[in-house]
Amino acid sequence: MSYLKFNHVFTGLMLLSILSAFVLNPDITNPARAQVQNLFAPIALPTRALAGWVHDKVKGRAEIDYATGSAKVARSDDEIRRENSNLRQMVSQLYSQIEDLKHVDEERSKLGDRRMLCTPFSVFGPDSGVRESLNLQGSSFQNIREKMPVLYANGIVGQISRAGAAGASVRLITDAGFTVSASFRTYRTNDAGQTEFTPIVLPQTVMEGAGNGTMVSRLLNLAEVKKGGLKVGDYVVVDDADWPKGAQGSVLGRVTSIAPRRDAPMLAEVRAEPLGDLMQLREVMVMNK
Amino acid sequence: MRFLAYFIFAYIALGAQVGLSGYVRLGGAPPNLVLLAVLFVALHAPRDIALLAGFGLGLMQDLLTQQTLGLFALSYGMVAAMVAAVAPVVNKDHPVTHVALALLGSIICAMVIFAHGIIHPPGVVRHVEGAPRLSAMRISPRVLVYMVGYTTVLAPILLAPLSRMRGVFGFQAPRRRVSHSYSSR
Repeated sequence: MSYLKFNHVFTGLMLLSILSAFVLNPDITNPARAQVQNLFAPIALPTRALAGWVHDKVKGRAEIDYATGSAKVARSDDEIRRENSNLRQMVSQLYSQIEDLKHVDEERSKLGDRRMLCTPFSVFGPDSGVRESLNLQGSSFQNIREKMPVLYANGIVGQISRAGAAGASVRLITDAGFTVSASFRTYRTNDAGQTEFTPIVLPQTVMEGAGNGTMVSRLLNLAEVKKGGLKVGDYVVVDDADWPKGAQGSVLGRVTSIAPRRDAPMLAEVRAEPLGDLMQLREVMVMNK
Repeated sequence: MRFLAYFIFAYIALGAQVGLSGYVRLGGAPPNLVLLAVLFVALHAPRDIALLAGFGLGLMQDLLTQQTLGLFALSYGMVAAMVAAVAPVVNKDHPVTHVALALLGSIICAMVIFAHGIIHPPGVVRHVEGAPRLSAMRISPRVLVYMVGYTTVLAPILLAPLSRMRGVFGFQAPRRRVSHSYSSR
């Protein structure tokens, strides 16, 4: 190939990449990518496993306490005894409720348990760039389709962004620009002394991925937020009509900060983070049934 | 250049990028190991091969990200063109060369990603009924700055051992014109 011809070819390739990156709709190019991305799994999986092993050895594997959302810490004996006696009371109360629930469960069993709706898939690696996504060892042959919710033990991971014959990607809820309608909940003790996961009286909001493992809500009125009693540590759950029934109410994360918006001080900027590092997940559940 | 060695090298670089980036993020940004692979190839390979190799590595990285297809191919094509242009006049094994080129290359990548984020933000402007307009959600420039710094710091650490392995790749020096001067007779 002569020098002149090579320059033509290279310029053509660069123009094609500009066209693909800046002009074409990603929906046109995404299906092509999903057909080949699993090619890198054989090297990415052992590398990730090794990195995860080293990470666990050096930093320890963080166990998240679902009730507090923070890493587990040792508690005093008195505290454990108190909790134990409370739990015994709860067990006796729950026992009587079980009979009632059995009836309800018969109805719910038609929908199936959330876990029964999901299929587990291994993660062979996260995004290779600065975005936040996970690449799965799965394909469209395993009934993975775009927009399917993806879950893990502590709630929602994200949504399938592309799925093809040799690969699938999950766009994380913390990826910049990811949106989902959500509402807030908290643990409150009712008059009977029981702890309930109750909704906070606030309008439905839109949680947006903000990158760097965070989400943000920029729609709520600050006065309403204060009136509703939303505070740091409360939970954000899926409340989106576009999502399947099984995913409704799943935890997106916990509120980490509430502050007035810089550009609109009457509105609140509510930041939230998932209950764990989503980029380090090794297995996720795709709600594909 | 031995193309089998190149493809194995590219495969390992991509695999390492994907496998490690979940655990070694700094400020939300992973190091750009594939960019360092591009720098290595572009520094040592003949110009034409360097350009194609850089573009190819970018295209492969594009397969494994949420960014639109072609973004890394474009970035690395530009980086490879820049490095291939200066390669004949720099000391290819000197750490300062590695740091300077990694810094420039990372800045080029960050600028392309930033420009793309301005034109096509990951989260578009939203209008929710009865609520004020939500501005577009973009990748934080701070993340890009971290990526530039992280990659630059890693450059001399990774490129030094790679330079010693260049025999594996069979890079051929570009043919040079022989000047006939009186002193050479």
